[in-house]
Amino acid sequence: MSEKIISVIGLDANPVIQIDQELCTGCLRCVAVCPVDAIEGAKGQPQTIRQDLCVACGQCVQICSAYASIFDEGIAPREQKMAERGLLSSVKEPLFAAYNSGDGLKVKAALSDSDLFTMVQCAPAVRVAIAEEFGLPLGSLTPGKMAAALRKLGFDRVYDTNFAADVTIMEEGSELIQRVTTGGTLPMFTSCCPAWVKYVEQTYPELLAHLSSCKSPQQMAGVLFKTYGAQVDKVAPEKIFSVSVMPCTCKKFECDRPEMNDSGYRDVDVVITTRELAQLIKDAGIDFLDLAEGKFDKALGNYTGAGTIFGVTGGVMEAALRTGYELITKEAIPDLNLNFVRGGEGIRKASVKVGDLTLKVAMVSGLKNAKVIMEQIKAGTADYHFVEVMCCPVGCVSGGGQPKVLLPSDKPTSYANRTASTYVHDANLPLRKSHDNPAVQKLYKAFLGEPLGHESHHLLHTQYVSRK
Amino acid sequence: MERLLPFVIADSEKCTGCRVCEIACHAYHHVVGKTIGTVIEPIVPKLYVQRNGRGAAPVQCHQCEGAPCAWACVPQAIYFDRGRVMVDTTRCDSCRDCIEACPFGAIQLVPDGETSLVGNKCDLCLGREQGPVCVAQCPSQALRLINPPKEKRTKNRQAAENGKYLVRK
Repeated sequence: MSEKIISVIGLDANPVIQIDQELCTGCLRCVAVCPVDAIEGAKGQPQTIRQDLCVACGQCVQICSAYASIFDEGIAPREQKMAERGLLSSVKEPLFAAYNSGDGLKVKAALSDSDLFTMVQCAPAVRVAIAEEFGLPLGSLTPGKMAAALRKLGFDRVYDTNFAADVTIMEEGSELIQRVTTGGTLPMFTSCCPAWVKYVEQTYPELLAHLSSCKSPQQMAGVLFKTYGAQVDKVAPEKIFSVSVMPCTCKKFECDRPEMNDSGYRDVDVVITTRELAQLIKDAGIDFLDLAEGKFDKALGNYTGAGTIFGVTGGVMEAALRTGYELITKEAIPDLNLNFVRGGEGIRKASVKVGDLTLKVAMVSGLKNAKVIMEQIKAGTADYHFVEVMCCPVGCVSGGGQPKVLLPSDKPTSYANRTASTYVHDANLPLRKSHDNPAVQKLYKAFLGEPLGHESHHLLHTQYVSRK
Repeated sequence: MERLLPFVIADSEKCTGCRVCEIACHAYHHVVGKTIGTVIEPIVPKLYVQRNGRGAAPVQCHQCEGAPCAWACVPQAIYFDRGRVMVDTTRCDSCRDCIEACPFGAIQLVPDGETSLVGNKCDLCLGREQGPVCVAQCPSQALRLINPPKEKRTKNRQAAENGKYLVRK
């Protein structure tokens, strides 16, 4: 594809994650979970983030327990802190030292601007966690209520990241087959996790060719909103305001990457986290628990089980194998539930017989584990075709933007429950393989042509930059 | 020796000042869900993490046998219940004599609804089968529920076994 000049913009100018120096107690719990050792400071003293190293994953935000107490003296008033953090004035929850930038106000403003045609997408991990913010048990599965809430907030189109995940499988599956059969760069790594991408850019830029050239589902959805989506609804693309709801804080960084404008506009205008969506819903006075099941708009919102399992570690791999197997062997995969790729933290390896080919794959969660594989590549000992990497402990369901559990002892339960609900949702969906998605088939037939074709290359694939 | 009441104490060498104990305490005593987003009142714990630049430790009620707070309480809102000193918030009239009386600063006056302030202090998580939630949740295991008679017996045994005190030069 043609070379674009991509500017390198880091987090220094616009940090996503910051530590409030007034609230930080220097307990160092965040230091222990930072995957890139970006947090500095003496024990017992306020910590600071090295924005050049930070990958904005938000694990520090999730673990931080240093809150602003009404009994603390000598700290700025709550209203001031809320303004600094971009929080809606109706937010009542406690504020903590480590926090992410807030964009709820921008979404609220866009929803009340009658000139704008608002389109929203939610990540797979949002629908297995958002209900927690309304008092439901950890990991409650509520896709219908999530869609209904978005409709009630006033979004013109309730689309879904899972649709774009199905599209990602079409592109990435084809790309993998191409690399394997034509001697392309292997192993190929997934590129849907923006913290992982930034990590490769700043730590192993010489290995950037190993990353899939596919954009993340968020960014694929965004660019399709303002091109295909504009056609579907006969709306001028400059009127479309593209919102993304993510379990991830790094997605705020990803949507602002300069090159993410292949639609001719900002493909994703703003990213809010699961928590921020819950805050918007409460701010609008919507009774989430009382909502009747809503629906997604089909054109860019219909999804399969393969799309929804992107939210857990091993899910992208399983989705890719369900489609890749059929693309290569022209036969249906014998069992859709690939339990051998499912699991928890760390590095999991598998060999999959796909026709004559034995595909060697690995699923990695945690950047420190990914480093192991990168070093193997440099040493020439990496023996894989395809590797899925997710920065967060059990994948996106454990992301930096997810509801933050109150008690440390509940964290493992939240991970386990959200993961289980993801697979339950997948198992109960009518369609389980990305290539079976009629909305995806229509997208290719009417608009893209074929995977890795000219339109796909222009809109759905990207380039990376060295940040070293 | 029978009535020495248990209480929670912190090891300032292990405590990092993280405040998880305060959050857990609030969560146990208030109606909240499992996540921060469900907390709509300000966090009001019954133990207070102190930091002095060298270390940290929470301070909470010692469940004093002679409870100076109970003696000082004008409307007699402070009483003993199953081995712990409790506040009957319906009787509290916010006179603050308990704050003056407590040598540890373990009792606080905190908002109770919109208009009133009432006494607030550690109740050893009365009703929680596994014991105080702060002890259970501390990420550094810095908190311990002390049972004074048992503590004394353990130390007596250790001292005898170590024989340290019998060495003369």
